[in-house]
Amino acid sequence: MRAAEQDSGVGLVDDGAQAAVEAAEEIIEEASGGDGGVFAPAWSDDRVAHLLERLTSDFVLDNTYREQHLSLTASENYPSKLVRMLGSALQGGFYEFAPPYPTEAGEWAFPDSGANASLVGKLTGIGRQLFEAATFDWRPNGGSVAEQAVLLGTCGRGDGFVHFAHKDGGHFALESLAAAAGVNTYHLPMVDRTLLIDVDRLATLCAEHPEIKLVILDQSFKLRWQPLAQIRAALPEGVFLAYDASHDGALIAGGALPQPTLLGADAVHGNTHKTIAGPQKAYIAFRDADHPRLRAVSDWVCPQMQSNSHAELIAPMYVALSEIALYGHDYARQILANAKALAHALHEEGVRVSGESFGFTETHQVHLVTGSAADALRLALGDLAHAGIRTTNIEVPGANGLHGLRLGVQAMTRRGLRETEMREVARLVAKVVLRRAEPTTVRAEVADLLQSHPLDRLAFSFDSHVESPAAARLLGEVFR
Amino acid sequence: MLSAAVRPRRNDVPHAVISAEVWHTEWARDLVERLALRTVIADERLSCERVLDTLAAQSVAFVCEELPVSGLAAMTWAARRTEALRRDDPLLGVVFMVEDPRALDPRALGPLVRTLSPGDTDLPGFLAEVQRVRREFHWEARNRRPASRPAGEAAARPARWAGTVPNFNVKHPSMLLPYALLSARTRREVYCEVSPQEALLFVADSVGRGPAAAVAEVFRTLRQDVDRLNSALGSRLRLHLDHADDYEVVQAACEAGFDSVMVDGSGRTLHQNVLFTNAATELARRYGVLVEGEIGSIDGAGLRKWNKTTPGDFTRFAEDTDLDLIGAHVGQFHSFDYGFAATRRSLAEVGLLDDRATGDDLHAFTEACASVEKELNDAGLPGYSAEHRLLAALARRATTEGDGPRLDAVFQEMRARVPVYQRPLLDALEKEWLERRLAKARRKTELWDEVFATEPAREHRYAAIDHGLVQTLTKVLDGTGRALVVHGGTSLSRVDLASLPAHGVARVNFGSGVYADYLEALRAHLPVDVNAATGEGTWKHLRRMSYLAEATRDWRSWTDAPPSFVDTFVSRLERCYAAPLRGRTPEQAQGGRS
Repeated sequence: MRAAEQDSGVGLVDDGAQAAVEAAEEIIEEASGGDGGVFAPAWSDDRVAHLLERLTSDFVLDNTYREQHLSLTASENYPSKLVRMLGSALQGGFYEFAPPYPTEAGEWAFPDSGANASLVGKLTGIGRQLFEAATFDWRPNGGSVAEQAVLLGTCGRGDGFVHFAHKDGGHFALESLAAAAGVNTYHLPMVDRTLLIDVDRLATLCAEHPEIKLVILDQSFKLRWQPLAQIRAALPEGVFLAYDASHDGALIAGGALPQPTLLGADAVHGNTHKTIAGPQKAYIAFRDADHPRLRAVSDWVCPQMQSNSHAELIAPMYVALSEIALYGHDYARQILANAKALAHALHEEGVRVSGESFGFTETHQVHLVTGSAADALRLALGDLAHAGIRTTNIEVPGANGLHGLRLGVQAMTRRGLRETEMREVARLVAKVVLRRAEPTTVRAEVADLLQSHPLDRLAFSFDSHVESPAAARLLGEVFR
Repeated sequence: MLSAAVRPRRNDVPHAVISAEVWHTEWARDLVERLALRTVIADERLSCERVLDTLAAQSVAFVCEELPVSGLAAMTWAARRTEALRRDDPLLGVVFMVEDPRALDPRALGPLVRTLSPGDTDLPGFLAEVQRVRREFHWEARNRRPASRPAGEAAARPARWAGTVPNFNVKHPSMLLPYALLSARTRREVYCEVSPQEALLFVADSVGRGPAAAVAEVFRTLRQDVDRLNSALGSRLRLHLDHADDYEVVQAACEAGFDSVMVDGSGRTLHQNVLFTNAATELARRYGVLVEGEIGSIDGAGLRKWNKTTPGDFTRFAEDTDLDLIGAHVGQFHSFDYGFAATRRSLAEVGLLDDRATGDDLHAFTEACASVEKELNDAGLPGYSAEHRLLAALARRATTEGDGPRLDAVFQEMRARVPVYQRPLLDALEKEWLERRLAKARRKTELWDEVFATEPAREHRYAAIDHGLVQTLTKVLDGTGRALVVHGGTSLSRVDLASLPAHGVARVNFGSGVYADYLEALRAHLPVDVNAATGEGTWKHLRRMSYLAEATRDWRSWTDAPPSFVDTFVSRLERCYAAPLRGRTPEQAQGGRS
């Protein structure tokens, strides 16, 4: 769907949409046997009705919260309606082993309809295509599982791995595990203030420590694209280079950032709920199907770290990746444009924005420097939260230990905000951060801004197709 | 289930937050559910206050809780809960569920607070009242982009001007006659304008209809008067709506048949200004009305006195909107406050105060009881003390007898019965009660002063117009068919006024200076010193309006033989304002006639 269509006419019930809804209702009625009378006595049970109404109340509260808040956390997004609805698919059929290498399932096999295999085929196909990879393991139940499997599948006791220090944005999930597994931890050397990896010093580090088997670019506070090709060239033969695309997955898949596998990464992995607006799942994609570490990494995912990979989320993952395949080009570029617009506008408002030397950001993130850890926490959980603006506090990379806020624009991009609205967002953030405006006043402005961007129809999503006859048939089967 | 999940809907349906006790009470739940609001159920794990923290102010219509006590305790309970719940939103509706309507006299509750009893049928009315008051208070609430496009097709776009025309403020309807005479005598188009604030202050009687309805009535009357004058005098007087930052006011003007409207979003941020302007423009187009927008502050007397419109903002505004005319701040003074939004808020607050401040004002009495009870507690008197019981008896006597004895009679009766040492308690209660009543009256007086605080004084200083900026802005509009409007024309020198046609300015608005001229001419006709005597705000306005009403009582019959002061005023209009605008237009600038 074109963005222009998404931006206009939200909430209007035109004749066509109404007809589609009625058609959908008929299909569901038919799919469910068409005999409402069978269920009618159950509906009259007040206990069930009360239970459902209490549940509804919680959903009303949360939906309204989402509708009225500016979501500027870099680690969340709005999944589309189909992604949310398909999570209930397959009538409780929960198990699917299906590793990304040829094998017999053996004791892990269960008799099934074959639909799971078909869905896995679709999902792995689109995953391989989006990440220029030979394999796509859909099974990790989260980004941490994915990176931990990479660590455990590539390093043994006495080996070493290199990743970003936490102050440079490194993820927290690896060091404790590595220590417990007897794997030595090293941090990527950085060029001061540029937020880029010092490739020469990395080469020296690897040469001095031949036990290093893995370099993993696991940055969570990520403003810049790293020189991946130079890093690959600097690494000794046999060192596994992994790229964690949890944050910038959609930017890579959408073509706004380069493909890590084409620049020398052995594998790209990440979760599917940040720039990719899918369910809370993850993936590991290997550049080569015959990579010597493929089997070890995959087996660490399942069955060694998790026995169940939540097969009910295969379909939502597939839909989320399909949205990227269809709309990812525009989505990724809009994210970058929005991030730059937000950063520049904040800078113009007088807020200290990290990274002025390189144009503030090359990703979906914008980092604000606000002072001490306590200041940042107070802003994120206090004034900004009360003003209806969701952010996270971080130690800002390259800011000499100062803390601040990490903002991400991907969620608001899905709500249809563009550069113009981002300037408005910057004004609202600056009012709270700089001018200490009364949060309730700003909150009214936030709610006012978001009135024009409801959650009903997300941009760059299939939401506008939910009322189509094809979607109605699908949902009729899902709820059958 | 699917239809509810996928059917498009707007998210502006308000919420009701109801406590679990209310939700478990079948009759109460039914009454609330009939309103079809988005209901959130609060309980001991999720308190009402927590829910109100989560939801933005104004998105919750009301909170409904059980009232667990009765009598005086119920009054104080209701007062304290209402205060706690309204921490972020003073206009939050509060409903207390009572099984027995006698548990709490509804008259003792404050504005937008009520009880809910079995069989009540007026909850929808209460909801409508909360929504109505909120709309009066918050222009954001009444200026949201409408859910549907205005009905009908866009009318043909009216012709834009070829030359520069004057646009005079109408501070009183009698001013229409000299404007029409000017048009007839010069055989040129003349615009006259009224802002909603002016319409309300200087022309309307707004009794009981609310400011928007009153303003709409004024618009219709003005239209009839202008049509009558044009017909009688052969004039080409056009009617323009000035400074409307209210969507429904724009609609009222369009429906009344105005020739031109100004949709003024300049009090908003540029982004919000564009959104508001586009929504209002879309509406005005349905009526074939010329639309003027506003970018940047033109309030020369305000905080942003020197903030001229920046070319960057102007360019973006011009690109993002579809206006016929654009007003900008190019250095002129423009001292009148067009605070119609603030006026609507003030009038709504007066209405809320009026609501309970009549008769004995049981609400004030309840608050006084709660205050005295607190003092008793602070003084260490236990709840079972005779003083507490006396207070409860007073409250019961005051509130449980319908239209029973007046409160002063209740006090009189009690004074005769209580021991002498308890008399101070009665007098302290009476003092608290009367002070609260007085505080309400004082607040209302303040609000009326705010409404009438506008001072259309003549600005004697001339502003230095920024010709470079005017040229830059008009260049932005070159080739788009749009043109610039300059407000605050009376602050400009004749030399500057005469330069505006060459800049391609389409319209120059003249406001407070013209009004001062009119009053001066009128005083020569009927001497009185309207600026003398004491008193500001309300009294000054009252004096001026009283004088105008008296002096121009028969103005509609003056068409055939206008009084001499009208001729004097028309001559001044022509000499000072209209003639300078007949300078060279851009087309005539190169070698054309002067």
